Amino acid sequence: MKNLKLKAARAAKDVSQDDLAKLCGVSRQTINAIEKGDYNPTINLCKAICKALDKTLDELFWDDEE
Amino acid sequence: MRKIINIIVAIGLLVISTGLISSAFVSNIENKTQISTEMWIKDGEPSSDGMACEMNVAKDGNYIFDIIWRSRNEDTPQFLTGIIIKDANGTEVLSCTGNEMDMESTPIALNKGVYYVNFYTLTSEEDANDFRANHNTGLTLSDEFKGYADNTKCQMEYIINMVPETDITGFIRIITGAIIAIVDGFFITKKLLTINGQKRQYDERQTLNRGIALKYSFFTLLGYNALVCLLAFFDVRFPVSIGILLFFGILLGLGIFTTIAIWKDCYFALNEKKRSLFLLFTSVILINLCAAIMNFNYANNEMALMSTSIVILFVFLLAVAIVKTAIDKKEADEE
Repeated sequence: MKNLKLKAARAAKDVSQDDLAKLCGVSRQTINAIEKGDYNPTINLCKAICKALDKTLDELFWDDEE
Repeated sequence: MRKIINIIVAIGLLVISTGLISSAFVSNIENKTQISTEMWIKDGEPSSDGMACEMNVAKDGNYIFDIIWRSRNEDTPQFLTGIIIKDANGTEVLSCTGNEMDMESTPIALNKGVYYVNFYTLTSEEDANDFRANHNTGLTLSDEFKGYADNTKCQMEYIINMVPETDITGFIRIITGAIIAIVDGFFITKKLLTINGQKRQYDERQTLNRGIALKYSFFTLLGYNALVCLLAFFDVRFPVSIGILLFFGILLGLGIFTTIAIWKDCYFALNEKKRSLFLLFTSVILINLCAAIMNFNYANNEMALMSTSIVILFVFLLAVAIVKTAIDKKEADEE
């Protein structure tokens, strides 16, 4: 399932996939895979992404439908 | 895990580079002919007489012939085979006679060119005596030889190896090739394990995908080797030697690992510039292309086949890497 929250948060901060990848110490393709829902990140990477985008885990990774 | 993957990749490339560099610098001009055929004698007449093949001498020098012929099953051949090797002018270079044979000749000076090997089936003592008198050959008979049979059948295998006599220059070439291979291997290993003195860095998704790629590569190699063993067990004749087949297995495993890793974006480390690896791939292709051409010129077909297969593999990998890079670039531009 696509992670549109992450994509929206990144767009809101005007951060490219490449920039976010550098901030989190991962590859651009990994960020892309998370946004497309092709890869489920570990909690450590989720935390790194949240810190980089000034968001909480709930805001970016909690599925409201559940 | 990452370290293990790196070491395995390094060993794979080390084996390849050692092979190609050694083949390029070591003049290993072994020339081998192998014939496997069913021979039968009916009413004293052989099934085939005058079987022949050619051997190519790539350059002048002293060569040792290693000649083996034997039955491929339990039956001992109850007839003799005479072999005569002649040069292009028809001058006899070597001849030998026996029912089974395992002999190594003294070094024989040969000029560059084609040499003809003729096989004769000798079905009686009279034939054998005539042959030996005409060609001045010795006679080798195995203990199981019970005399000439008028009606007999045997699955025969003839192997003729023509190996250049190892002299001091050959030894120096081998040492030079080995030193270059070691130095080359050291740099490739260093290059593969570190980037500008730093450890290669992969993120968690890349590490996971490298493990998957390694798993597919490992099981493919395992399956391939099992298949080769099974075919060898059932006595299937391969067009190439077992060594070459196993080498193909390594290339297959390496190819599968690299292709999956490139496609899943986990071949290049985070702190690695793709351009340097493209240059490495291109240089591997060029060096192997040179090695293949040199080996074809020396009629060293097996080494040429190895180099050619490396060229094909790396051209394919380079193409995969270029296509994947283009897709990534397009994706990044669209984003």
